[in-house]
Amino acid sequence: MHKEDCLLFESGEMGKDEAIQFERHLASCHECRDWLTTIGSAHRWAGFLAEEPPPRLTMRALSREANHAISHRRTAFRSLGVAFAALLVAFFIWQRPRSSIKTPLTMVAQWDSSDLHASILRAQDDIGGIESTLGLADGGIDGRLKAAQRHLNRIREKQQTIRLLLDESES
Amino acid sequence: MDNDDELIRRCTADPEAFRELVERFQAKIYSFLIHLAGRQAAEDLFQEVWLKVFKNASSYEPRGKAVSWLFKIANNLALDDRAKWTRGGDSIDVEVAAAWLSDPAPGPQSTAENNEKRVRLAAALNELPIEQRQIFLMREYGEMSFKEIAESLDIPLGTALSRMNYALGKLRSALEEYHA
Repeated sequence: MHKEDCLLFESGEMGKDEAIQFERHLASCHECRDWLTTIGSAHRWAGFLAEEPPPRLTMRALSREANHAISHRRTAFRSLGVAFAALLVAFFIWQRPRSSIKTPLTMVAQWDSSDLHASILRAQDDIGGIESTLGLADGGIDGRLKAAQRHLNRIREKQQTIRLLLDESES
Repeated sequence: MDNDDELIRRCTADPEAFRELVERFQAKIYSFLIHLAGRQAAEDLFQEVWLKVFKNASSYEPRGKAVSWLFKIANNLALDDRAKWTRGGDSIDVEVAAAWLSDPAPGPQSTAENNEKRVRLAAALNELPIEQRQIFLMREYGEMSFKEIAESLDIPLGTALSRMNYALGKLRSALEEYHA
């Protein structure tokens, strides 16, 4: 008996010439014909054992896909938000002073600009106290303070530019 | 409506296409899963299959029958999750028997004899080694060719054919004993 050939013949996976040859063989082989009948019965058996899923499973499958579709869209929006935030951070880093040496000016640049004015006023008081203690002339320290003030102004200008960019992107 | 390939391609963007795909194939997928992994595990796997179909549908490329693609997903998920299978021993017989014998009208052939025959068949199928059962189910519910089954399971074609023949022989014997 050629059981494997029976399966290939029945499933249509046999080449045309091979199938013709096998049909000739079938005419004279009772066992192969019998096995082909068994193969045919298997389709009935499978149909006999087939079951529809309970409706609650179908409903759950469909609703899960819907939820998944919504969460997929949410993820996409979230990704866009993260990308935008990353761009902003990159922009700030790019705007920072290039030098890694912490001079008084780079330190001032890292401060929050809203606090800068108050800090400068406090520094002026402190310097006044130090100057009076040490008896130093105003010129040198005052020059540095003016430079810090100019830097503060530049930072404020940059902040305004960023705000404008943000407003444009939000609109 | 549409052919199966078209339905799969559209189902990510079109909920109606997805619904139609589920309705078209759910009985085959569910039957495959309950007889492979057991009724309880099949419920979870059934959800996972459709979730994966939904996720992968946009990258679907028709290479064979659409139903074969669905069954490869179902088979891989079931095998990956084998620890959760609820069959083993005779548990499936009890589950299936309870479901069928307690159902007074499961279909047009719902006679007591038919239900008993179904229980007998399910028990015989359950007793098959997993390798033989898997091929029987992929062929009968997945409509996969033996070549596709062999490729999917990474086994030689001859092995797939001989496992199917063993499975058929055992199922036939079980039914012959029943009728004897």
